[in-house]
Amino acid sequence: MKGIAHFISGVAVASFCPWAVEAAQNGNAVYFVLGAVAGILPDTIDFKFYRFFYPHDVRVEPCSEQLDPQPIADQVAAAISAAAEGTPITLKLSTIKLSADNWRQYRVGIDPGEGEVRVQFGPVVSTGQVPQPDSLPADRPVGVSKFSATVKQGYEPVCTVDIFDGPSFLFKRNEVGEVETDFLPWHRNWSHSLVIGALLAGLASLVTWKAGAVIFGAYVIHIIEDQLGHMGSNLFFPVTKKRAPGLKWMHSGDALPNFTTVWLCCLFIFWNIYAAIENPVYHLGFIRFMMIAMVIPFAIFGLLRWLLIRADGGEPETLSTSWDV
Amino acid sequence: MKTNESNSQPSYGPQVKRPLRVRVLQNLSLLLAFAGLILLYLYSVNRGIPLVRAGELSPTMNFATVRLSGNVTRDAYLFKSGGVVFDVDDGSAVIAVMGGRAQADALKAENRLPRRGDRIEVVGRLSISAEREPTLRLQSVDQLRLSRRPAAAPAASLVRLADVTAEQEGRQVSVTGLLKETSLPRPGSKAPYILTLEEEGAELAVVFWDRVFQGLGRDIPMPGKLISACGRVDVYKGTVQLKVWEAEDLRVVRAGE
Amino acid sequence: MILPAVAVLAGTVLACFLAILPGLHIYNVMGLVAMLLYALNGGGVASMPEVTIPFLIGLVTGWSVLNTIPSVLLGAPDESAIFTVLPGQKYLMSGRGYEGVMMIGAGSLVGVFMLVFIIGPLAPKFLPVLRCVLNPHLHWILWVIITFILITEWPKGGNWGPAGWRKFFDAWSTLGAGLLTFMLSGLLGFLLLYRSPVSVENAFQNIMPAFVGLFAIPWCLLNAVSGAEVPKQIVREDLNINGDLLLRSGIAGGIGGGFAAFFPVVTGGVGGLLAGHATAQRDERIFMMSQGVSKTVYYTGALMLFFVPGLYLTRGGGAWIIRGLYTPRTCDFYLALGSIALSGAVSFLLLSPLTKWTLKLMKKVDYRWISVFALAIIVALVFSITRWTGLFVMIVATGIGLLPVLFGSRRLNCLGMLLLPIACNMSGIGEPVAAFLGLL
Repeated sequence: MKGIAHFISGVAVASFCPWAVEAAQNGNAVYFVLGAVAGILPDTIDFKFYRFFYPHDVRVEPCSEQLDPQPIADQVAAAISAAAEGTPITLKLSTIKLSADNWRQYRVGIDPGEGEVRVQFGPVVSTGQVPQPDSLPADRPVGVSKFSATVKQGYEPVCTVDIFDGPSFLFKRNEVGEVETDFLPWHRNWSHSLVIGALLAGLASLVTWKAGAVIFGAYVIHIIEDQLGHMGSNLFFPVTKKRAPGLKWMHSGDALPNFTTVWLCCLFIFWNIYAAIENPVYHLGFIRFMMIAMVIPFAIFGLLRWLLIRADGGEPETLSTSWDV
Repeated sequence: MKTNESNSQPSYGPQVKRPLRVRVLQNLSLLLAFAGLILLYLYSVNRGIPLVRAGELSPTMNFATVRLSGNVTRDAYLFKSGGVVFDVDDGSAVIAVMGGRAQADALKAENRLPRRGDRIEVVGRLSISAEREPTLRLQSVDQLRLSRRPAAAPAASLVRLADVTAEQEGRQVSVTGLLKETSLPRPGSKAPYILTLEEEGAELAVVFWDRVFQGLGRDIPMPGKLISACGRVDVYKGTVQLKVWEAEDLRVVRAGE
Repeated sequence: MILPAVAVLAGTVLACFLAILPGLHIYNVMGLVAMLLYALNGGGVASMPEVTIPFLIGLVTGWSVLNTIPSVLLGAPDESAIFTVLPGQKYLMSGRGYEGVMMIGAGSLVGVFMLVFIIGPLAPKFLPVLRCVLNPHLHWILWVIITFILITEWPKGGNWGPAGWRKFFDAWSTLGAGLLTFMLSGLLGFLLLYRSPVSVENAFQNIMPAFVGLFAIPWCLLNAVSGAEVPKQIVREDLNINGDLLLRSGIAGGIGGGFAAFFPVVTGGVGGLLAGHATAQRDERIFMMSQGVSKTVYYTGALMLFFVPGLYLTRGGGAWIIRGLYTPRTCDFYLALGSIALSGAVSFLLLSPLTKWTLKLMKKVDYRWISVFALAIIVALVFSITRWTGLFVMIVATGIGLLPVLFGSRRLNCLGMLLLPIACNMSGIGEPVAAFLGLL
């Protein structure tokens, strides 16, 4: 999920703690801020600290003037082959930044069936990953390189490299001799462990158990939300060594699940604050509140959207390019 | 086999260098920000807080941090929500000074809640809006200097009812008149109690609230009694009134006084 | 009815001229108008609310729709803008500036519709409930917003090179600049709140020079020194948008602008940031249109909330200025809604001809000179209201405001000027902090 969804989920968890609401009524914001920080902390650790120190054995840094996919394919295949011999290899695919808001997109596909890596350059995209019109290179060869290993795909077969920090992989041979591909090995590993969450909560509990409870709750909700996606997390590090795969119910950037989560959390926060008022001036029922604040607006939005899409010709717009490796 | 890219890989990779002029501008900007803040700080703290007169406030002074000096005309009142309010007359007008819960608690703990007749110098931030009286918002109790009143407090000037006009709005006055009629609020209402006094054909509404009513022992005088009232002249919806804040400022004048 | 309508139109037409100037904020102009009205009142000439209120609403609404023009057409990014290029600027540099302006303007029109037909009618019923419940909790909501702004800033560097401290510091240079900007602007805010150097007589515009320095001056300065040439612009009468995109923009921008209008201290930029993240929209067209919605809902909505019966919320500089002039009555709500509708419609109708006129002007006059001209007007405005001390504050704030632009961090961090001291005050720690700083 996006950062704001994790962030507000942490605040919502804090709002379920009566001591947090009571402290807030008395002018003390600490529990809510702790919940917010703990809610986003796992991703903050990964993206703002750990990833800069995670070493890569192979760094692929394509040149913007020389759009040759073959060396890229060769390096990826060589890494897989090396991993098959027993040595884990970490590989980083760097992005190609053309200017402040333009990036050359390329895709790397690992095909276990054919035993080959295929690479092809694509269009120029904005930082919002929107392809710029007429930006596909005129000549688009496909770089193909064979590897001598049985590969077990851990993530999607085709990886898109476009903006900011490029993706990285860990190729590692498992017990049965297959090479497993771990996407973004530095992400959702030790930082997304329930054990680490408990440890941090324990440290906070040295001051007060209430802070520890809020931190643990917010940490856990982040991990649960991440488990709804594809990558999963290493839930019990250091006991477990690998990420437990997610439920694949959504992608992290999907608009509707993100917005629904944020909106629902805001409603829960409001309700918990309201429920803590001793003699409220206004009287709300939970069902009525959810109907007015969530069900009816979402229904109206859905209906309007359906009508507007129908009026426009029937198909909602999509942003992805039609090309593929 | 591990591959170390610095040994065997071709020299790919974009080289992003910042132009020198950006670096120079960055440093200049940092210098400007830090030096400017320090200079601004030194200027502000050494400038002193200006003394203003309550009667000379204008709407453009809203949010100004100012100093006021005068006499307290109303004992500090503590709100149930925790704040505090008292009135100060600096000779030009009366202004209400308000503080939050923290200031109220601090003043109470230090036994420095202002009382009527005390001499006071206070710093705060002005709040001025249309159709409302200006108020001064206390920022810190450390910025409040209090001199307790001497034993005999100066009385408010005694005026005739006919002389209480809109021009005296904000002044503290004393009046005496015959109670013509009373108006009591409904139970639970926040409306005020109103006593209409009469003197030589002139009438004046004396207005007070529940706190004063409680101080009077929940006993309102009967019409026909001679009443003495001390309070502040106010104009409400075009009508001149006398607002009384303390129970001791409202009493029945006994025969022979 | 005629008089208020004429007053709205007058305000909207004046907004046309003011909105073209890059960097000039409508609250600055409203401050000047307020001073004139105070002077008139002091001279015995009473200002008529049925004229001044619609005029001021026309100013704000018109400006919120029309100031899209300079933000798209008069801000050409060059190579020094290596960190961020806004979508509107991209449209300009690909010859589609007119299309960019009209797209954002379409968002503003949606914002006006939302205010008049949805938020306006529902506000008297629901907003008092919201306010009643949330009032005691505003302090932590502000702290949570501050935390979000600081913790979600993305490191712009650190994407290439071997792992290690160098990569870490390369990434954290922009983040560090962001934190520094927030702290420095927060310090400035404390100074202005507790010991403002601006003279007492003009204290109602205490923070105006700081806002100008933090936001307007850096933009004008960078425009003035920009090396980019604006390519030929093409005017197309059809826009690449449909109803679905407008709906999604309306939701995203309406939430962001509405949030900013309702909560104190939270400005349109913060609201836009929150809504942009929450709705997770990646389409640039939706981003642009939602910015238009958010801007209009924030500026005009904040003013509208001042007139909502049972609420009378003072949010945004415009409402604070009007509060010094007038106390609203129940019937004024209809006056406000009507003025917003009329001004919104007229300003959108003026958007197209005004944009075309600006494009013609840009062919004759270099956009850099327009920025210099706007810079001169803004500086003159600051001086006329707050004098030399105000100029001093403006210069210091400019130093702080240049940091995000030059280091590539978020300009939103400059809002620390309001967020930090007010959050501290609401939490009850403002006084100890001010005392620590030696301001009491």
